[in-house]
Amino acid sequence: MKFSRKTALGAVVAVSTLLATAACGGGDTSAGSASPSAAGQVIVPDPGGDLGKAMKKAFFDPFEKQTGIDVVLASGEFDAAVVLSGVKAGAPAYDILNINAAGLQRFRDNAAIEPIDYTLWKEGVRDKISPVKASDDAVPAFYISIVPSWSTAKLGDKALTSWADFWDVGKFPGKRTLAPGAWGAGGATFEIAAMADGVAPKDLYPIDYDRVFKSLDRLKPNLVKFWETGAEPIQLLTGGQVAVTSAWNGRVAGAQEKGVPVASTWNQSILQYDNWTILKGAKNAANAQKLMAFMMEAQPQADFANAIPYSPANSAAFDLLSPERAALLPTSPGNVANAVTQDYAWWTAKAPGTDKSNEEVAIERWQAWVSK
Amino acid sequence: MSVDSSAERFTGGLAARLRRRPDRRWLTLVPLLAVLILLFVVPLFSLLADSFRSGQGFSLENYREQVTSPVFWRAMRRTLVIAALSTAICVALGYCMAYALTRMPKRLRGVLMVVVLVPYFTSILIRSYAWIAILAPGGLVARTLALVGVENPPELVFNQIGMLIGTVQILLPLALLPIYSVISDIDRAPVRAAQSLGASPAVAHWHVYRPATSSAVLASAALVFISTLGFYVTPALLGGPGDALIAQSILVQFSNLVDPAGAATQAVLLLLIVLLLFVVLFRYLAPSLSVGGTESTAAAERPGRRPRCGGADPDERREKLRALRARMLDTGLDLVGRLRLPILLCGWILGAALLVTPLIVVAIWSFSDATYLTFPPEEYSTRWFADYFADEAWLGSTFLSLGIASTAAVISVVIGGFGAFGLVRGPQRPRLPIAILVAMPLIVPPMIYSLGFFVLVAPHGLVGTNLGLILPYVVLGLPFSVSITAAALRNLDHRLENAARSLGAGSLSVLRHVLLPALRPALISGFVFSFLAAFDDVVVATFMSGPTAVTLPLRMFQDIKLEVSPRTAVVAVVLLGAGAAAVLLRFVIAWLVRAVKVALSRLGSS
Repeated sequence: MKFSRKTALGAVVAVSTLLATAACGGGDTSAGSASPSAAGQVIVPDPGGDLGKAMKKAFFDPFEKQTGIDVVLASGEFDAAVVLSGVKAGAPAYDILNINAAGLQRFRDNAAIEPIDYTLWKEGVRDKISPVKASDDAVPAFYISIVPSWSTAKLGDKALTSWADFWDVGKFPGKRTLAPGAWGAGGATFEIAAMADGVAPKDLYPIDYDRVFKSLDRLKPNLVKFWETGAEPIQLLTGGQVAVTSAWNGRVAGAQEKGVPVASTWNQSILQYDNWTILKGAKNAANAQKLMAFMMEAQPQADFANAIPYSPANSAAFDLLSPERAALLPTSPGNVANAVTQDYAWWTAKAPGTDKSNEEVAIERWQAWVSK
Repeated sequence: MSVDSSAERFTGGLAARLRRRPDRRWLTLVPLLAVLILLFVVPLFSLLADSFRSGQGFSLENYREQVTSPVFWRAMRRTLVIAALSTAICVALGYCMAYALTRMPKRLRGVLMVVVLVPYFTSILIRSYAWIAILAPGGLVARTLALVGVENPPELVFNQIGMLIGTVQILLPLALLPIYSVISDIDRAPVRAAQSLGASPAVAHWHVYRPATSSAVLASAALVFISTLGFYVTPALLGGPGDALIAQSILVQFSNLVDPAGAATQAVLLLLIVLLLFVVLFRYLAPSLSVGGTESTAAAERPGRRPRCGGADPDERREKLRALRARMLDTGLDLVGRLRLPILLCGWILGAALLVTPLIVVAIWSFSDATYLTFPPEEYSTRWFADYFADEAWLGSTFLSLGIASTAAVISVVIGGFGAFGLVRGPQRPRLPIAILVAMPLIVPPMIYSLGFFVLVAPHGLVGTNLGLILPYVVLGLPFSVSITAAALRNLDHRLENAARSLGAGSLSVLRHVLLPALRPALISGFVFSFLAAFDDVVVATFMSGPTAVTLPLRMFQDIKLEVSPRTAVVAVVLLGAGAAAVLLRFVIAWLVRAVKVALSRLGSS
C-alpha cells in the first residue's frame, strides 16, 4: 500500500511535468507555425462567431494568399481597457484593432494609435469611404444596426414598428431585455429609451437623462435583465425567457439562417460603426498598414457584406453587390431612411461644466439609476 | 509509563542540545516570502499608488469621489448581504454533507467526491445558462411544479435568488472540503463515551465535534465569503436589472469608464472593508465559536482579575442566563438529534441537486444538434463532439491549461510546503503577519491583482507566454497549499522530527522519511486546490493570455460569449469523462494490486 501511494505521488509529479513540457512544447510550435513566413505576420483580434468567419473569409485569407503575410487571429472579444493598458505598458496585444467610436476617442486621448499610411492605398479608395469619412488615424470598419427584434414563436404575426411598440406590453405581451446603459453609446439604450418616450430622432442629442430614466422606469417591471453579450439576446429569445429584445441586425440574420423563429424591423434602427486603427508600438505595424490598405478595397468589402449582413465602409462595394443582398444591409437606401445614426461627436464631447465626456456622465447616471 | 518518561527526558536533552546550534528553520520561509513580495505585493503597490494619482501628483480625489458616491455604497451593501447569505448556506450545507460523508463507506466516498468536485469541470458561463434553463418560467423547476399542480411558481431567476443559487453551486465545494478534511480526522471514541454517559447523540456531537471543527468552519466561511466578493459573471447572468454587485461596479469603472485609478480605489476600499470585517468578526466570534475550554478558563480567570467589581447580583443573573441558554441549546440539540437522519439526507439531496443538476443539463446539451441552447434539445447528435476533437485550437487550449495548472500547482505546493514548515516550526513573532500575507491573494479581487501584475510584467514580454501565466497562478495557489500544509503540520508531533534527528538523520532524511510521508495527504489536497484555482480561472487569463497562449477556461468563456452554442458543453463532458476515468482507474489499479498481493502470498504459503 505504501508503495502504491508513493508511486501515485510520483506519477502525479511525472505526469504534470510531462504535461507541462508538452504544453510548453505546444506553445512553442504554435508560435513557431505562426512565424516561419519570410513576409512576417500581423496580429488581429478574432471577434469570433459569424463576424469572425466573415472577416476571415473576406479579408484575412485573401490577404495571406496575396502577400504571404500570416494573419494571426488572436482569440478575443477584447476589453478596450486591457488593450489600452497593454499599449501604455509598451506591449500591445494586437497590431490592428477594430473599436467603437467612444473607445477610439479614448485611444486618441491616450496617444495609443498610429497614423494611417495612405500612400499604400490604391488610387481613389480613400475618397470612396463614406458616409463616414476616413480620418488620419482611423477608418470606419463596417456599419451595424441595433434593431427591435422579437420571437415570432411568441408574437406570431404581430410585428413591432418602433421602440414605442417595444414598450407596449399590452399590444406585444412578454418580457423584455435591453443592453446595459453601462456601455454608454455601445448598446444604444439611451437613444432607445428616449425614442420610446416619443423623442423625435432629430431631437435625440443632447440626451435628456430625466426623460430617459422616466421612460426606463415605465419599462422596468417587464424588464427581465440587461444582456451582457451580443449572443445573449438571441439565446433569451430562443429560450423563451423574453419575447422582445434589442439586438444587432447581424445576430438576428444569423439566427434566422439557422431557422430560429425571430424577426426584426429597420424602423428606428440605430446605426453604429466600428473603426479600424493601428496600435502605437505595434510589433508588426508595417504589415498592419498593408492589411488595412487591402481590407478597404471594394472587392474585399463586397465579399465581407456578402458573408455577413453588415454594411461595407467603402461605398464602391455596393456596385459589386446584388440588389437582394444590398436590401439586407443597414445602409442600403430603403433601410437607412428610417434609421438613426448615433452621434459619436456628441457622445465623445465634454459634458458642459465638467471634465468628463458625455458618455462618462451617462454611465455614471446609469449606475446611479440601476443600483436604486 | 517508563517509555513515556524516557521519551520526555530524551527530547528534553535534544532540545537543549539544539538550542546551542543556531536555528535555521526560518530559511524555509525565504522562497515563500520572495514569491509573495515580488509577484504579489509589488504589483499591488504599483496599483495602490495609481489609486492616489489624479491628474497631477498625489491626491485623495479618487477616494473622495467613491466614498461620497451612493452607487458605490449600494453595490457594496448588496454584495456584503449576498456574500453573507451564500456563506451561511454554503457552510450549513457543506457541514451536513461533510459529516454525512465521513459516516459513509470508503468506496462510496470516492464517488461522492466526484459529485462534490463537479462544478470545477465546466465554465461558469454555461453553468449560468443551464441555471436559466432550469429556473426560468417554463424551465425544469416550473414544469416539475406544474406536474404537482403548482400553477404560479415563484420567480427563481433574474433576481437575487437566482444569483444566490448560482453562487452557492460554485462555492459549495470550497466550504465542504476543508470541513471534511478536519471531520474525517476526528476520533469518534469521545462521542461514544459521551453517549455511554447519557448524552443524547446530538449533545455529544455538539460538545465533541464543535470545538474540533470550529476553526475549519471559520476557515471555510472566510473562503466562501471572500470568493463571493469577486464574483462577476454569475450575478451578471442570473441577477435582475438592478442587482449589480461590487465586482461589476469595479469592472464598469475599469472597462466602460476606462478609469483604472477609480477601479483601483474601489478595490482598495473593498479590501479595507473586508479586512475590518474580519478583524471585528474574529475578535467577537473566535472566543464564542472556539473551544469550550477557553470559555471556562476565561470565566475562571475573570473573578481573579477583578475581584468584587460588579457584585454578586449580575453574576448570578449571568449564571441564570447561561443555564437557560444551555437548557434551550440542549432541547434544540435534542430535536436536531432526533431529526438527524432526515436533516443529513435533505442536506445531501439539496447539495447534490445544486451541484449536479446544471451539469446534467450541460451534459444533455452537449449531445444537442441545435446551434443554440434549447432545453430539452429537439434533436440529438454528436456533431459538437466531432467539432471539438477536430479543432486543434480547442485541444491545444485543453493541454495548455492542464500543463500550466499542474506546473503552477507543483511549484506552489513545493514553495508552500517549505513555507508552511517555516511558519509552524520557525520563529514565533513573524507568524501572524506572514499568515495574513499568505491569505491576501484570496482576499484581493483577482481582477485587481491581474491588472497590477499585467502592468508590471507586460513590458518584459511575459504576456502570452507560459511563464507569464504560471507565475500568477503560483501566487493564487499559495494560500491553499500553505494553509492546508500548515494545518497538517500543527497536528504533527514535532518530537518525531527531533527523534529522527537525534538518531543521526540530516535535514533531507527528516524531510524524506518523516515529513513527506506524514504530510502526503495535505500536500496532495494542496496540489488539488492550487490546480483547480488555476484551471478554473478566467480573470488572470484575460490579461495574461495574449494572442498565442489561450487557456481552456478563457476559450470557453469567449466562445460562449460570442456565440451561444453547445460547444462549451462538450468540453465539460470531456473533462468530466476524464475525471471519472481517473477515479475508475484508481479503483481498478488498487483492485489489481490487491489481487496480485493475494496471489503472491498464496504462492509463498504453498
